[in-house]
Amino acid sequence: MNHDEENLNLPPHPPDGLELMCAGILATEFGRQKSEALAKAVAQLAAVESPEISWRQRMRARWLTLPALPRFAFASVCILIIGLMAWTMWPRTSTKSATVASISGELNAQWASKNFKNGDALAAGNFRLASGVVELTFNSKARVAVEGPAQFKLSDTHSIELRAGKLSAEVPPPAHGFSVKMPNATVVDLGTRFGVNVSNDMSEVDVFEGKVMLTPLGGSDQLLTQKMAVTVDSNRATKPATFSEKFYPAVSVTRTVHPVNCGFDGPGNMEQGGLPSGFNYWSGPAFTYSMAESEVTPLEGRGMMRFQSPGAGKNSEVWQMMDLRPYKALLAKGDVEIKSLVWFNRIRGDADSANKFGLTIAAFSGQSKNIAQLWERRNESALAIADKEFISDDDPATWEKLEVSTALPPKANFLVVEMRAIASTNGDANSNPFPGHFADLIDCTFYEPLRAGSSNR
Amino acid sequence: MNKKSQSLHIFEVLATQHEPMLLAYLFSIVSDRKLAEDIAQQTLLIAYRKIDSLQDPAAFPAWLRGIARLEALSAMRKQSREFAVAPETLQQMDEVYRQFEEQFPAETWEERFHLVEQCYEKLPDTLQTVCRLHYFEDRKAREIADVLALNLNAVLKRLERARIAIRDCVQRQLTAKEIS
Repeated sequence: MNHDEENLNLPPHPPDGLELMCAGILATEFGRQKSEALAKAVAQLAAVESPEISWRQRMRARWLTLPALPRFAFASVCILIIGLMAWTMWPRTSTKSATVASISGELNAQWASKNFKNGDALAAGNFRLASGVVELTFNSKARVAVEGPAQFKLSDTHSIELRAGKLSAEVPPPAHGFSVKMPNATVVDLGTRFGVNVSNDMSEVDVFEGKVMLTPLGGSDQLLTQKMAVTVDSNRATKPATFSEKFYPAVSVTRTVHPVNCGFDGPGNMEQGGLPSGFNYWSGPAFTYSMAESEVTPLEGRGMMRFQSPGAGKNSEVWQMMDLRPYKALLAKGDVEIKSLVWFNRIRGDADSANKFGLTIAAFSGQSKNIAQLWERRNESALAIADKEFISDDDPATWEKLEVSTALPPKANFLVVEMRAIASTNGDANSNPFPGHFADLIDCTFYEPLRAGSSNR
Repeated sequence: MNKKSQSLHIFEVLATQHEPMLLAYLFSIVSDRKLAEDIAQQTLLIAYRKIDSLQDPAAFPAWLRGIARLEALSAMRKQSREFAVAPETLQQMDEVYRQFEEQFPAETWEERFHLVEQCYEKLPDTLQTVCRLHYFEDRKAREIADVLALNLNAVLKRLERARIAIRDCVQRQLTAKEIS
């Protein structure tokens, strides 16, 4: 952090107080980097304090002068008290958790000795995976998919040593600097995804996305960028290789896609009418956005969506269309699932009030402009559809969540998300079936499970 | 229990709460990390000795920053280094720290700094990477330029852009919190 260097060649940009403050906070990694300053100061101060009988010594002296009481009984009480005091008075040494990573997914994994399961925490040590794929999530947030037969060693949350087998790593920004040690070289991630293969005497690195630094043992650093592949042999010689991503196992992918105005906190585009005619706005015959009302407050943020009545006996529906074409590459891999989640709430109301809510997601190929006909026959025309309803409680203080999910085929072009409040069938035609029915925080997530690599490049 | 060691213990508990803030403050105004840590240690020693002069315990963080500022000035002078920060900027920084304390009265400094972290996470990956290498791993800009195969100016520009983006984002959050 050398300010002198930073002033070189830049037009004068004096930082203001807030910018300077942010720089300092960054330098401590948001307050997480530990410092010895206080410990040292306290040690220095304690050392020069006037020699005084320590608390413990004083207690012992007093105890020794007590008459009569059976020493044993007193001793146990004292020990209890000392124990309690120690807990509150002496600075507690933090116990470092022994876990380095945990298993966050597996695909037909067979281990050589101990059989680990999904969810198990792993401490430092040597591991042998006979076959199958296992996904490890490190405490640093790096994720690695290892495919057997493989031998690897864990030591800390920022590295893994691969003795044999293949793996791929996905390293999000907080974990940049994650390293994979191979017999002939070490690779350090500079962001974000790469694969490593160790077989016989050859180590190989393929960079899927971002950059890594490859250092052959005893050799000089080599920066590798996206779509580069390099092998290192037992003589530490490096050679370019044919890049392949599908050869390596892949960690599971979860990507959240927020419908526009998913929290209903901003004005956003909204249309009163039927199904939307375009992407990225909410449309429906009877709804509005509202802030906190007398009994109901938004689950998050300032706003929430309120269902209104489009006519006697009719459900109140709201739709948004989302374009899936930008995700074609992701969907093409196959195996992608889409999940959608929304929170509903309602006031108590009366006998005529609706008490059911529903959520539907439907993926269509074809053209979004034909949505009206496609939606009408959605159970036949949708490539994938998921739909759920539930009866909500009548407590305005509780928000309840509804979740649906379905596989998403590669041909899907667009997705329709529909939330609805369902009018009760025996409602009086003149009463409002939706005196206070709300939705908030709707989200969609793409999920792609852990996968094995292919056997050929 | 001996009165002095009890008061040392109480001071330790108090200072532990504010240590992250003290470090962040000193890293802002002193470019050398090692020097900043030494100044922090010195500041805490002085704070303990003068603790009786502090009337209002709630003013401890601001009072600690005051001592830190003076110690930083004196340390830089001893090393014949120029104190690179303008007095108005120092004042602004004090103001913002005060704002953080007022708007988040019940939170720890790590929780308060989370606001800055959220803004950092909004940065594009290219800017996050340089920040990580420079701020978290304490690497010099020249070293980063080599590692990322960029020229020095490009790295400095990215760091500047990152700082400005984070700064603006934090400002917006603070203003929004003020209004709500």
